[in-house]
Amino acid sequence: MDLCIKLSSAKSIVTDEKRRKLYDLKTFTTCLGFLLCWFLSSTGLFAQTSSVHVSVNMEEMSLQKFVTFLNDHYPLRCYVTPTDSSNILPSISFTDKPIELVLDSVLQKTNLGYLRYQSHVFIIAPRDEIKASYSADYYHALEEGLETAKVDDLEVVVGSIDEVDPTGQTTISGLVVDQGTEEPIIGATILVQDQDMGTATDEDGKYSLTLDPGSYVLSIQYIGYQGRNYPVRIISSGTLDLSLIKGSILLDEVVVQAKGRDENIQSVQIGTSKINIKELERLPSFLGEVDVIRGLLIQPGVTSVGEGSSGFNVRGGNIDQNLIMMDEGIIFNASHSLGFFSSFSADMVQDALLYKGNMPARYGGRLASVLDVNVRDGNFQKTRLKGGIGPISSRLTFETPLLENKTSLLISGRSSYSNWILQSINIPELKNSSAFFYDAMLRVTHRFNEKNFVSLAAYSTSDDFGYADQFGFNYQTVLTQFNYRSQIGNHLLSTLSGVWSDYKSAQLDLFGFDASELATGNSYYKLKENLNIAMGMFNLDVGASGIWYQVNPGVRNPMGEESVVLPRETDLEKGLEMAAYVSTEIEVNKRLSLQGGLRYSRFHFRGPQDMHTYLDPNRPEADGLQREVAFTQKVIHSEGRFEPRLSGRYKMSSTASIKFGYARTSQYINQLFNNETPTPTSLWQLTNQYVPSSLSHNFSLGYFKNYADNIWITSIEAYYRNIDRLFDYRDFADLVANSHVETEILSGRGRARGVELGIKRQVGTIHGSINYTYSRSERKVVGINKSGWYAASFDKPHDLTLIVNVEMNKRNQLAFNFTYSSGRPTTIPVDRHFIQGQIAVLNYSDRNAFRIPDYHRLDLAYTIGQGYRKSKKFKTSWTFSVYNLYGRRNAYSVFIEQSKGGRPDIKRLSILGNAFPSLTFNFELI
Amino acid sequence: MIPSARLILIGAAVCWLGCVDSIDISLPDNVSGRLVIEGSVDRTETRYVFSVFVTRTSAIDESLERYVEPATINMIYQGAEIFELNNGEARTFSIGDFHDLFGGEPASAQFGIEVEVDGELYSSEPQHILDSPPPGELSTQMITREELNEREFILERSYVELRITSDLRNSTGQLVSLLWDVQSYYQFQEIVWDENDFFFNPKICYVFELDKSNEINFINALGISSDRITSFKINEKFADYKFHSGHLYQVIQRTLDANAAEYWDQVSQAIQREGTIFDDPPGRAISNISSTANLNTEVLGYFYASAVDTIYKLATPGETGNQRHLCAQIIQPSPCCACLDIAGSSLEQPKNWIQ
Repeated sequence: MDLCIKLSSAKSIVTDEKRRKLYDLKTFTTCLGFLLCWFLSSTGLFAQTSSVHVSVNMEEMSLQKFVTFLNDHYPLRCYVTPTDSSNILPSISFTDKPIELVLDSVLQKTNLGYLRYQSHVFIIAPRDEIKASYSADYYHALEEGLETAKVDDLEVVVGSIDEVDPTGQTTISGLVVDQGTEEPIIGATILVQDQDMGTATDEDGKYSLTLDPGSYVLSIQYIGYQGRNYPVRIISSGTLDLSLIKGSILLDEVVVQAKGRDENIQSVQIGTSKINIKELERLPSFLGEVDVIRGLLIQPGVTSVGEGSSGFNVRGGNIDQNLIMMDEGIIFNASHSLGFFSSFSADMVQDALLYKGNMPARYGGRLASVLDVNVRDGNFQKTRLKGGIGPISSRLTFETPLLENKTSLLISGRSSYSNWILQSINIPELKNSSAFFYDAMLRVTHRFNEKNFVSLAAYSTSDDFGYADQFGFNYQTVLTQFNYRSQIGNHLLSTLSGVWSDYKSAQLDLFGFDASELATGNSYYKLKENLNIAMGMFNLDVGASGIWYQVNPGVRNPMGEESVVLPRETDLEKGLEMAAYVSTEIEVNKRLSLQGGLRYSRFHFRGPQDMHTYLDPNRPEADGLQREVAFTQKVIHSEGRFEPRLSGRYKMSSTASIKFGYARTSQYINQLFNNETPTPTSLWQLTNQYVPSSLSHNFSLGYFKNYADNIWITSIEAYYRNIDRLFDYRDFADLVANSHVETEILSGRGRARGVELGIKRQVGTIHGSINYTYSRSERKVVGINKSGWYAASFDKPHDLTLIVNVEMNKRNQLAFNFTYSSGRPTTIPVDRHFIQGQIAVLNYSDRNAFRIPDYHRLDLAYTIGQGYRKSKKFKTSWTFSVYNLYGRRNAYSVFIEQSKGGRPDIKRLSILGNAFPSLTFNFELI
Repeated sequence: MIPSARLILIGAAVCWLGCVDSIDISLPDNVSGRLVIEGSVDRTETRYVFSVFVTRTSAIDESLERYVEPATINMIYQGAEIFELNNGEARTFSIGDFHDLFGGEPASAQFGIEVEVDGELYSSEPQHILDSPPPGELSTQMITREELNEREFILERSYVELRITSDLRNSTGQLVSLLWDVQSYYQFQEIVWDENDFFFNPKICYVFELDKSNEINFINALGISSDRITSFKINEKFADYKFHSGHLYQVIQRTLDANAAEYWDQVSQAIQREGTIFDDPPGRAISNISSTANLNTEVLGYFYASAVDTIYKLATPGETGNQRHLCAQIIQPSPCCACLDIAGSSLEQPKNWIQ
């Protein structure tokens, strides 16, 4: 067999190269189908795994002849592109040498390389095309899909005897869809077993095959889905729709980055960013920790106040205005080590999607964004082990079927060993310090049948940070949830979920007269039901949810005999947040699609509760504080509102579209922190009669355009946010376990606007992205800066991120990440005076009137990965990463130190002021 | 662990906790010169001391006070003007003389100030003096800790801490906040540098020192759980030759009411900043002085009235680690044979230098 594989036409590959290869290149697809069928039919012959040894005397031999020789004389199948096949190869002789050595030597001085599939199939093609077009992962995924293919018992009959074509030819066509969502699958392969035939679905998920009447087995494959074998009996031409079930194999590697062709053009939703875990793993990381939230910071419109700060800011929103969800669970503190890392281990994450402002109606409760982190299911077919060893922590994920194809288990954990490192350092303060964290996930998923799934998950994180005998923090999150999906009939999908979570934190001041422990926390129960009705083009989501909050605003107690700290205790606060929503997507015509929804939310601040009364209830101030009163009613305060959501997409061409969006969002629980960034003990405050809920209007408009057959993806998005209610704090606000904390809060409004520009090259030896954002975020609060507009503390007008990935080959990859942003606003001393000629007192500017120096940083990562020729059972890679390559001392803050009579000294605090190299070993056992 | 790895770990750990260095950034230099009025009435055991400083704010790197001239300053007693003060100058009355002259008695005395600047009149809220609690007791304590010096070498350093034990409730049962100003004298004895110089008669000097930390030492009685503080740290000094022959602490203690304590608390927060995520945002300290014509006119500063006590503690060499004499460590003769060259030195022994 001497098949010609027209690899030369395989020139356009995008980031989801695995899908595109099949879509773009039907020739290739067909040949690959042959290849796979041939392989399957000959596995008995080539079952051995040892290398084939070859003897050949190459005198004036062309590549084509060489390939023919190999195919004729050895149990090998080699393919070569025709354009290269006439090349005369160097005259070399080999005697009983491994085929790999022979190919390496023969092709050494040419521009050709080879790709090995299984143990005895070699595809010879230009090296750059091999690098760009084929990956071991791709074939590996295909192979797994095939190995786990499900064989349907019932033979499907296509056509009828009355419609037999006189030519004897029949054509079957149809759709390949996701069985769960019924969305078309683009680029799925349909191979006809025992026939040298196959095809792939087009951009609408459609396929077409011409066959002789008869019985066949169609093998359907797509990466991230279980392969499926359909026995069919074809009588005449007809239609046959096929479906695939999402599988867990390689989901972490592949599915998260699998986007349909021009998905950014097609989708109606505006202002979304998908976090690509696989790409994230290749980017430079701080101390080797691949971090979902750090991955967010390279997205346009997402910033943070600086290193070592927990959380992130989205489109001018405060940190607490982001809803961080793990499936249906809400995470209140997603950071480890006071914000250096996030609490999501990348190994357990299937995908993460960020909605910036314009969130669908099924989401609510926060003003600015939703980060929806989906956790993987365990593997239903195979046991798998994956992990990594880094300089400060290690991680391990174990997944296995408990009942094959029925029940899967996923256990994922990560733990630091920084305590051990600190204790080995001979500095007393560090020796007695701790910086320990862990996170762990246990998830069991069970399929009752094809239509009913349930998953149970438990998640726990913990941090313990202490510095000598001076101070410390500890905080823990425990979350459990269930999710039950049931398909009722053909058009209704019900998803019921329940969550319980508890977050506890403590801040410890361990030394001296002010030694104390401050404990805060909150817990909640959540129940949500979502009904999805899908009938053809009609798709409707209807749902309702309720969250019962119990918030501990703070308990402070003295520690030790020396302490004179005044104990403080505040009552547990209780609140019920309810919501109901409906949303739908309507395709008005081929160009215009609309996605609309309406959400109604209502919040009850529940009694009984001791609260203060004020002379003017609308302006709770310490001077007007009257007395503490026991409010005994069940509902002390209640408010609610409608939240309309609308998005639209107008397709200007197949590669360009305009999108717009509007969302009104409400927030009934806010985090109070008077610093630049929350600390673990920053309390969450429920809306009550004194602390109003927040309300935001989010507008977006964007233009999306792809170039060069989807290689270049560009976008420009503009947004404007008007925040009707927000709050800031009085000077020297006392927020610690304060039973009348409302007297420390000032209400106001805010506005944010910006333009985000993104350019991304998806394929090629060198690919990457550049994102630039110009944005402003301002506030106006009575009592601050003469009630004028002032910059929010995270307002950074210019933000630029440049990412360059150099894939030298599948094994060696280099990545750079450059970040620049304007310095964030700060309040600095503008003058000083002396108290009685002695004590120099600094007088500060208006709030946030100045900026700290600009921020910039270059990171580098070099990954030596597993070559596709290595064993597939045990995959390893090393990642060497340098964070802050040129060691810039970016300022986290600027402040002034002064001694009596001395000159003041302007100081800069840099959190990560040096280059931080790290080496991480990653492994995977399948 | 190999040494280089160890160094990296130490560096990482140190930077983990934050790297602080000096930078040059341009601060505003065209300072508008905001008005500051700082006034006080100190009542010691025997007398009243009145002082008011009317100044304008200066640029950050200016070290001189900018006095406002002319400023008319009137002292208010029981709601009426009693005398005029010169800007920055203290005026003293014995308690008896004061009440003979202006009537009333110490327990009911109520003071205020009125200041006229550029035709605008500023007045303070009236202030009472809270009586002092019984005099507290001072003690010293040696501590040692390892620190990184500027070149990031680890050094072990010893410090002498000054601590106070005191009631916070006065004789009338009121809770009183306290503000401390720590001063000290140390003895410096000249040594014979040249044994052939038979005419050299070594002198003993007493060197006066102010606390240069620019920190504010106070306790807010309403913010703590007890009406007594025990061994409360109010000062820390590097343990060196200044403790070789004795060190006399002189602590001036002022009583503060709740509002004045809040003012000092806020001033303290504005001064003592470390730039970390735990720093509270800076703000403008409260003032009890305002323009009589326009409440929105900005004025900085505070006027307070205090009962003042001076508490002494002579720390003996034995209590402070028997520190070495300066001249045992340096090679040049001065000030070893010329102790009067030391700023603040005098041959007069402080009257409370009682062994």
